[in-house]
Amino acid sequence: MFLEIKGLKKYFKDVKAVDGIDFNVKEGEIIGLLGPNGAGKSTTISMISTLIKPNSGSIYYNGEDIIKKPKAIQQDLGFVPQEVALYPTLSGLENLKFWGKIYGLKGNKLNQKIEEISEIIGITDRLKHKVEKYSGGMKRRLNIGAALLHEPKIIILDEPTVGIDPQSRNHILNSVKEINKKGSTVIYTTHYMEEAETLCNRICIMDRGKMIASGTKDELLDLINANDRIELKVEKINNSLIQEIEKLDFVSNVKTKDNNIVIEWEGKNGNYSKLMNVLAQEKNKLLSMDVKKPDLEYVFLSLTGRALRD
Amino acid sequence: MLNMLILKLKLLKDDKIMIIIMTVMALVLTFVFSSSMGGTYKPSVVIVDNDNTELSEVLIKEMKNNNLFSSSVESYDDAKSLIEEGKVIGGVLIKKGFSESIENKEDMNISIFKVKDSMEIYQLENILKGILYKFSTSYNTAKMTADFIEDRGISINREQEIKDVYELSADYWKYKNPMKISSQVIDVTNEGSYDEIIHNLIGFTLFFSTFTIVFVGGDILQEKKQNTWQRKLISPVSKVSIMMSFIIATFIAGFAQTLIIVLIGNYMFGVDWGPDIMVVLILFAAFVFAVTCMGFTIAGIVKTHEQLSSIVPIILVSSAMLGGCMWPLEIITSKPLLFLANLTPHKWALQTIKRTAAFGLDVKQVLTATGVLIFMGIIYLLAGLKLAQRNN
Repeated sequence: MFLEIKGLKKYFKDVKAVDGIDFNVKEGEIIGLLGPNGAGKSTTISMISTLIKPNSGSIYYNGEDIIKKPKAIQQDLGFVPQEVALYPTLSGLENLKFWGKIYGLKGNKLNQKIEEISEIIGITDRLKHKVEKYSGGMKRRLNIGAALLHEPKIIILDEPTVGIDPQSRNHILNSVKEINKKGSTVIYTTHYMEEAETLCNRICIMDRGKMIASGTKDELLDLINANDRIELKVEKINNSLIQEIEKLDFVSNVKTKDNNIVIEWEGKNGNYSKLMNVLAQEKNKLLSMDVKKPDLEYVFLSLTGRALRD
Repeated sequence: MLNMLILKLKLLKDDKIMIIIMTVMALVLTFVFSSSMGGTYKPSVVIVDNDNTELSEVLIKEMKNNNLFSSSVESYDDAKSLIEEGKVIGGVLIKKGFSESIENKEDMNISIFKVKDSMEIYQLENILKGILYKFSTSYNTAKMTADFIEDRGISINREQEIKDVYELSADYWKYKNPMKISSQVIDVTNEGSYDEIIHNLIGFTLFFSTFTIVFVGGDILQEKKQNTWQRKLISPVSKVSIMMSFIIATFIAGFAQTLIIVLIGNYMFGVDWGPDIMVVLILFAAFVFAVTCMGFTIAGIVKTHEQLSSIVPIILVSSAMLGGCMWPLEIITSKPLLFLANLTPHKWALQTIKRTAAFGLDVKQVLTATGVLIFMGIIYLLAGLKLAQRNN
């Protein structure tokens, strides 16, 4: 196995930041760590990147115990921290040169890699400007670029799109895909369910320091037997309305909250009119309707009873 | 490590305002104090003549000829007021019967009155001893000469004869000062220099350089804040190399500042650093090393640059005070304070640089102080590394 994590624990005094997680990373895949803030994603990747030591557990990279021998992974690792980790008073070029040299690049090879990476991250025309003059999105892209220069075999990105504009976000997501195509394995942490869905081959869902589920998107959806959902907001809810909806053969579950009715159902075209007929018979006024396909947000909700962004 | 060192030196431009201010402050003080060393500063003393004889007038004339102090003759009450008000450092009282004591070769009726002991009073005492020795020897020589001539039956104007011989004798002493040993201690031969001035000059140079060193070293906290520190820690470069690059860059910044102050002080303001400036630079280098490592330890104790900014002035001002940068340790009598002074790098650097400038110590003679400073630096370095390891 490329990267193997077993029984990993990290406690900060009484806080169980990571509480005994196991997962594997296959070479060449993009694996996502999905979870809300405080789930333990950043602590997990800090341990994988050798920045902090776990209280217990093991991390093997290509068969080497990197807790005992951090050097075994450091040269192969490109780490993109959640916060921008660059020298603001230096130019983008000076920053890239420095981080490249740290990983042993020099001369023409370094210049060539800087040219290549700055094209991927889209900052070629701003390379000579000071980083403190960059926009937030550009800083994030340069932050990624600094981790890519030495052609790392494994790249860890810690929530690289938090707080940036949609354009830069798309650029970053495309860059990650491109990096992966060139052969790097990617570990990507996020609390944006959409990013994990579109980017990752496999997803590990974390909550409160524990790994609560992992697999492909379909495997995760199968875990909870998820159906399509429709959420109706009506003028008032009464028992007869709920009973009539539950009687419909394509409805599998009905939940209510305030004036909202969440219905799990088989969302075919003909079923919409049948549902509307029930509302009409009950003389209830429909205020709004929201149709939802099952997603990771719903998986998280089903497994933890909380929304991903809570 | 070389790449990290080059980067740190490049990043020194971020600290340029602070470095410039600290250098300029020290240079301004160098200018002010070296101007004083040019002879414009003279401690004032008062002379009270209760004898009012020709001999006491001759002594007063001798004292007024001295270039290190400015003196004026006052009544006893006025002199007392001036001393109490701090307008003069002390007074010389020529008591009644001074002439008779000279004539009878008895102890001279002279005393110094003062409010407190100071370096200036010690110097006044030494100078007065020299003047009195010269005065009594010249006077007795003149008197013996007059006696000798009269014994031979030659008729002379005795008073005139004594005066002439006295002047001849005093004039001879100008070229062969019998108080040479004493004059070296107070640097009388080098007219115009003043011990307290060179002390303050070195003290302020050390004091201001510590601020630059500790704040440049404190950039480690800035790196932690901007996350570049964490990024370096997970790179293949060893932690020791990362930390050493910080220490070396800080040392270079601190020593460069000190070097500029020493050289500008020497060549532009005429500050006398002694016969071998290299010895002074060796001591400054050892001091910069010790303070660099001290800064590294402080940066390991505090968590943020803001905490560093609030704690550093307290540490540096108090250690400079304890170490004698603000006033000479010679006037401190408290044993606990003198013991604490030994724990500061300032004391070892200041005392030895001062003695090197005054007496021209060579490398061998400053080995102890240099060794103590390097030892302090190593202790701080080990403590700093331990703290950094804990923080990481």
